[in-house]
Amino acid sequence: MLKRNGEDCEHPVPNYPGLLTASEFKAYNVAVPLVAEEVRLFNERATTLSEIEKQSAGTAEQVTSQMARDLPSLTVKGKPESEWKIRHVLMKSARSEMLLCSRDHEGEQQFGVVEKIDPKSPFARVHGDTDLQMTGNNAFVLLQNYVESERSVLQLFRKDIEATVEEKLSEKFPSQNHSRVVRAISARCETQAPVESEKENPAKSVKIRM
Amino acid sequence: MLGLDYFTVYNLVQRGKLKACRALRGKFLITRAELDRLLNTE
Repeated sequence: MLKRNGEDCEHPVPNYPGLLTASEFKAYNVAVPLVAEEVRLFNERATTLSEIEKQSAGTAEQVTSQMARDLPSLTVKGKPESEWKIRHVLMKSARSEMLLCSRDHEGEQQFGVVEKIDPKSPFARVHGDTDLQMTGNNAFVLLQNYVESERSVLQLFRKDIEATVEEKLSEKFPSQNHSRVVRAISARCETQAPVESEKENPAKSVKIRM
Repeated sequence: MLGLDYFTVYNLVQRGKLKACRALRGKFLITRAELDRLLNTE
């Protein structure tokens, strides 16, 4: 059996291909509940993004062919202010909603992803309760770009989960190397997005003309 | 303090609207001054 630091590598853990030693396994079991909520949020978001991606062709076709005349609308603060029709709810959480919207712009239909946040939040009081995140003239391409952008946000979140585990374990088990435990915990984040997709540069709004 | 969802904050960081730095172990830190800036602008 493979040994590390004199200990047998004998403990399998979910989604991680390696085996942990008894010390690592002990640290792993300490760390799991510390970031359980964050891992749950990560996986919930990753699943929602996969659903959006799977349904993006159908959603795009639906919003492109449908008339927007009688749909509810929202105003995006900015220079200039813009009025958008709400076409589809992409995702919803307690404090925010991601909406696929459209408007007539220079004779063409323009699509946009707008985040609607809690209007009572301190942020919304200053910046308004709507945030136009990206725009494009092709709803399908816009949805693909949105999913890609959200996946890179998820990778930032994942890095933070890893950092939290490293920090907590260093306090509790200061003499151990926690790199494998951190990777094993990170493997509980069942993202379909490749880790190398993390982007250092902030995403800019996407304008696609077809 | 901002009253936002976790992912909204990460999204703001990713888009450069909120400045964050990484601490020694790689954890994101947002300074109080940066939060004040965000809540006092415009």
